[in-house]
Amino acid sequence: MDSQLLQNISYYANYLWTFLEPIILLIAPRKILSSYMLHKDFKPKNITKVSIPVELKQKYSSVDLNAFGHGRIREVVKDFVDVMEREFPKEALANFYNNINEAKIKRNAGVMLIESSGVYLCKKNKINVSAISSLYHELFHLASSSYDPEAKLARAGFSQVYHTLTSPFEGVNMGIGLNEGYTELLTQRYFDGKCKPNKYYRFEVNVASNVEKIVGEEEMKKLYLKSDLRGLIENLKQYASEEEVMQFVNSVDLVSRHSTDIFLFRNSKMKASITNVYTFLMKAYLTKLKRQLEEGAITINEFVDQATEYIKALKTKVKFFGHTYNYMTVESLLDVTKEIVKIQEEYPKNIATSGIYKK
Amino acid sequence: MDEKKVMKLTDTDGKETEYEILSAFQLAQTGRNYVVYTDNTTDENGNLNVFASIYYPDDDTRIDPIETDDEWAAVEAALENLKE
Repeated sequence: MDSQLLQNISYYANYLWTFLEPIILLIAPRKILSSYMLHKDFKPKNITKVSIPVELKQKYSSVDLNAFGHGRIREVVKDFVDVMEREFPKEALANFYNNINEAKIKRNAGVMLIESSGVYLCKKNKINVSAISSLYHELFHLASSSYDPEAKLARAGFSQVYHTLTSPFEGVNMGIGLNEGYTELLTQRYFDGKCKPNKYYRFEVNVASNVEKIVGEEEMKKLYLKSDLRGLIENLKQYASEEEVMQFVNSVDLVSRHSTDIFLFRNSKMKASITNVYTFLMKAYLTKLKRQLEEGAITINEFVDQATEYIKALKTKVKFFGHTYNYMTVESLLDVTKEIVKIQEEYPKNIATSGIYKK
Repeated sequence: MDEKKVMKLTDTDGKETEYEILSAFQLAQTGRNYVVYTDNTTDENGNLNVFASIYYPDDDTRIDPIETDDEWAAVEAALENLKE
């Protein structure tokens, strides 16, 4: 058995133990220890305050469906719980379990909520929907939200106030567009047929889907459920500068906020933001692929195929209120194509195994 | 990528001490929550000093020592899985 295979088995075995033992891991271990001394006699004394990360404040590890009565709401919640427990990593479900077990869910059939048929109120942990089919989308908001009463800070998926970066974005609410896009993407992915796609989020869903290809599906799920916008930004910084990533996130927000504003959508800033969004996505994904090619993780044929598929999946135009923006010009498409061809020409074609090609 | 997770303990004198969390888990048999942490110092042999306690997700004033052999065994198993 070769050493690489042994390493892989050892890596996965370290996590398999969580399923074989009656232990629920709450934090994905980050540090690898070479040697340690466990001090069993260490006992913190006279402690008045214990501050721990929000994902450790998990009060529940299962869902009591009896709290939701016997009607359609209970059916939808049960559906949702089944999907969460089957499709999402357990260590990322703290927000979900904490919120779902204490949530209030109300259907107000006679109430039309402005620009939405549902809303999740993070501070109150409450969902209001006008149609039961909207509940799936709002449950994803519930599953990815946390409220810090000390800091009076609400985090919902990728939407939050970002404090740690210096100007020009410090203290600004951000990530709303990506958050709605990814929430709706998950809703459509897992509950297709049980609810209609939200036509207002087509742009955001397309963007989120293409970000997911850069970050990776499993990592994106974890970051979302842990309300970790900062983690998402740090991940994207592997492929672009911090300023480019922040501009991208803000551009998505601007387009998302004003897509129904019929007076603003023709604004040049709006057009520039849409162009910025898709230029960023192309550049970041190509950077990722180039790096994988250079590391030997993919072949040149895989590079070309994946790059081509990615660009095909990007939208070349965006439509808002019947008006169309063609933001992907022939010139920009040609530039990208030339770059792909250039990379292809620089590498030999008949590659059979990875790891051979180093510049 | 996972960023460093931190636990801060404040005592009656107002002194705050920060620890890096290495692992945290629930044990089904006890229903309790455990945190394994370090202050990132080493002993005289260069081994990382590691500690473990029981914490309470809904009580931010309490942290308790681990008392039973079964619980210590679970902590040691968690640490073994972090070793290179």
